[in-house]
Amino acid sequence: MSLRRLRTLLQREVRATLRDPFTVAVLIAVPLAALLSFSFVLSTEVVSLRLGVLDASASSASRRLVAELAAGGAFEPRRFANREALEQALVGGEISAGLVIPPDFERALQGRAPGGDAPQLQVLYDGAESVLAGNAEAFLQGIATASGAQLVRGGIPAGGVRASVHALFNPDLDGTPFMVAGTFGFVLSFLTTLITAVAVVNERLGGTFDQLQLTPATNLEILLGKLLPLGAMFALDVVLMMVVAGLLLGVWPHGSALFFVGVSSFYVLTSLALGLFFSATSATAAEAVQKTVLASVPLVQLSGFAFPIRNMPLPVQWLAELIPATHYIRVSRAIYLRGAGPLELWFELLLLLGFGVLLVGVSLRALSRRT
Amino acid sequence: MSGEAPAPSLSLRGLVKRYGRRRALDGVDLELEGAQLVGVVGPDGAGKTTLLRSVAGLLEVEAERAYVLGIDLRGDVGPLKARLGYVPQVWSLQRELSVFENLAFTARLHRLGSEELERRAEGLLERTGLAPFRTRAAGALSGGMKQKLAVANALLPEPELLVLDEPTAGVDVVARGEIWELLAERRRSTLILISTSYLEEAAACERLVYLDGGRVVANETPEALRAGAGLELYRVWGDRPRTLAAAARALPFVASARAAGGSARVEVPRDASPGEAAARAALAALPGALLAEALPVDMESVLLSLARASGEARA
Amino acid sequence: MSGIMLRAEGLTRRFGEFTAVDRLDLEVERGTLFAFLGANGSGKSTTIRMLIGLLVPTAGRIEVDGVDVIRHPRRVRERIGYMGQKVSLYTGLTLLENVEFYGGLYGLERARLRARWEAVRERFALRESEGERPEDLPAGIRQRAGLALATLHEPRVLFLDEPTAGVDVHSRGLFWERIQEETDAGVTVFVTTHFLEETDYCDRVSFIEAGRLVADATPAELRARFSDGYRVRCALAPEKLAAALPVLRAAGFAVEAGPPESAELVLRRPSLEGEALEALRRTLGADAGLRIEPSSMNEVFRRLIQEAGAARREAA
Repeated sequence: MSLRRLRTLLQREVRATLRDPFTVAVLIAVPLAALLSFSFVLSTEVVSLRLGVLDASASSASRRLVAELAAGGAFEPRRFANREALEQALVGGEISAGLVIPPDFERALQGRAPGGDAPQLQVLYDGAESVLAGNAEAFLQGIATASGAQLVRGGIPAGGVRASVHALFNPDLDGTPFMVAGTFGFVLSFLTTLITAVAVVNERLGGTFDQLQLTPATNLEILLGKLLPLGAMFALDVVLMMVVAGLLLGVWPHGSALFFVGVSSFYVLTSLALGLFFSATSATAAEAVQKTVLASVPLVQLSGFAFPIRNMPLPVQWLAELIPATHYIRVSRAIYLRGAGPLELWFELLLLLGFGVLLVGVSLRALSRRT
Repeated sequence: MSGEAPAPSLSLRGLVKRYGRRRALDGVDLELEGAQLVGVVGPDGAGKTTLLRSVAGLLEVEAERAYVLGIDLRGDVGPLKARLGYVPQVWSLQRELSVFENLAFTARLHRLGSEELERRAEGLLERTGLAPFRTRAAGALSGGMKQKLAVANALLPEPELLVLDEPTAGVDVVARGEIWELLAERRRSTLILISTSYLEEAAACERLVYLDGGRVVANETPEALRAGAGLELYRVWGDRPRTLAAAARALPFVASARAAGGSARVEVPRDASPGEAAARAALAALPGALLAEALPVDMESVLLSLARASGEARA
Repeated sequence: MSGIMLRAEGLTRRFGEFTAVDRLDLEVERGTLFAFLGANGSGKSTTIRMLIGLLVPTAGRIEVDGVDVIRHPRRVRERIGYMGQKVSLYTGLTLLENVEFYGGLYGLERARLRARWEAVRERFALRESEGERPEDLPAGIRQRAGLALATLHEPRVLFLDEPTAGVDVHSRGLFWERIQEETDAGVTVFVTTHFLEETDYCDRVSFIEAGRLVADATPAELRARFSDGYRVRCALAPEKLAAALPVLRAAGFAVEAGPPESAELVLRRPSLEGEALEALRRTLGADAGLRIEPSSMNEVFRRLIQEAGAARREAA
């Protein structure tokens, strides 16, 4: 490995990219556009959710519960007289979720022995609105638990989802930081892979890649010569996005910003390597783009970016664990929302390292193959 | 015989084609009459493809005058399509259709009856040697055969004007010759406008249009061009042509010398020449030289002197 | 000092069912200008990619400057130069920056690179274009720059893939002069082209068709074998003719036409070297109307291909 050769390769890559106004514009504009549009527009906040309430208890405890729900602003409770009316309203779309308070609610609450079973509140929701419902459920869960009750999920007759009871507690139900942290994952996976794939394929088609392979430069040097400058530019992107999210959306990482940038930069290299792999196995830029997009669809679906992984069937959850983006998004959200540090996240970081090494190795092999 | 001169088949004056700020054609003046084989030559980027596409009615152009077969290029070029055959640089046949189906497709576009199609198609298939392949998919043909099919396709409607953009580029030598023969046969009945980068093809044209920087620099017969080239050409024979070439370069009146095929080809600008006899003598006297002959100016020298002239004109 | 700089034995490359290159054998001596011809799709590009180590053969051996290219592709990289069909200059960098880039990769340190570039720049007349970007240069100059860059690190073997495609018709010859200068300096040059007349610039010619080598000879040998060779015309005075004819016949010239039936004397000979030229010089040398007409390479290859095709059909 020759440092001089590497330096020569790096110099060229940086020079050429900086002189290409289009690429620079894309590198800056697209991540910011994604950040702002996802965080502003695709909020999964729970606001004014129409909640149907069947209060069979009609006690002061139940009335207090419903009042709390209304006071938060997250829900707009509507009373229903009986179950059929509630379910009909749910199916008809008048309400997005339903809450059933059992007749013995107050009594069960007051008479509960410490450590005994909490009274059950049943929540019904439209299975198609799983994200919204998931968040709503979490919110309800919070309120229910605070009142000493336990939330149980119920099914609806027409194709409802039956799932086991979870007792997750997500204190931060404001959707924006959740989205922001997730957007880093999306941008740093999709955009990086795309730009790399296209750039390298175009170089191959232009004939300069052949010429490069005929020089004494090793494949590792060529690989690093492409990865490091692009990685550096995307790292700058990370800082930029972080600052914009903070200034415009008021979202700053709870944890160490430096740690976040560090992990993100490393993750960028992983995505770039994937992009290189796609380009090494594509004959045209269009093909590389197609491969990237095809890979990105499951990435968006399964990585936890938009849809909670815990709601997915078990085999699909295992599949999600195989996607590097899943782990990065977990880390990203942990740092942003919980302020987690390297000690707490050591396992995920190790996994990311493993993925990185694997992908760099694979793309190196793909580049070296002379067929 | 009426006393009228035939209307020119092609009449262009001040033809301009702009792409943004760039002028691919910068004031082309060209008049061509009747049936003949006209070669369009010039350096890369001179505007040859743009000119051919404009003449074929594929581009919107600005001009003082732009008539092809009496049809104004700036207006509705629809009627032109029926009388024109066009073969672009990258062939444009239907890959999945067979050889014959391609011809049938064109026949339908031109509303040829099926007997007419049969008659003409059979003739063309025989002439191009494609008859044994009539059912093969066009995409499965070799490069040379594809080009032959493309030319046959363009000839099927028996157009008055045939425009071809480097139809023989990269094609194997046998097919190239066959395509050229095919075209040469039509030159009494069709105006053929063909661009080429092969010297021998340029030399075989009846007329050459030299394009440079989007303008017509010359429009003459090859003979007139040869006569007008300010170059004399010599050839020196000996056993070591490369040494001869090097020695010739040292002579004061020699512009360039190059070894090729057992001899050294020497170019002498006319205004620097000591005269044919003296030049020959000087060359024959070079060490290792056995014979020196004066050659008729060839197409390469013609094009070189044209390039020099137009380069100087623009500088 | 001679020796085999490039050797291929039984070189084969298959893509699935399709055999692109079929048991090719080649030997190129040091300092030779070797032309490798074939139409598009003949296996030409596949072969050159294997020779430079960018593609692994299905079978066979390749040796460049004594190095087994298949087993140790990296060992030859400093010794070979390559110019592909698409000139490999990076857009977004000036020509000089491209020079510095490649120079850096080949390990030429600053002072040596500077000296080397100055020499190359003069030879290829690129001084004015140094500060330009490749996309702003005319195609002819870009090709020249590509060739110049390929010679920058003083390789022993130059591989040029269709170097004159895209060069103006009249500039091709000038381009070949540059290539010939390389061989004069001892560099071995392996060139592919589809302009057949360019084979006259070369020392040796090979022709590939449908993956197989159908010719490997000097241009003179090919002319002698696959065409009428050379025609010589002159208008010699009848008195001199009587004395000249026996000398010419003895030197191997056949008389095709002459006085009294035709005013012009037309001779024919398959080849034209030393003794034949000498005989011509002694008899007709002073004749101002002397014209030598080599048969065209197009004719040569047409006949070659036809005969190769006929031989293939017979063998099948």
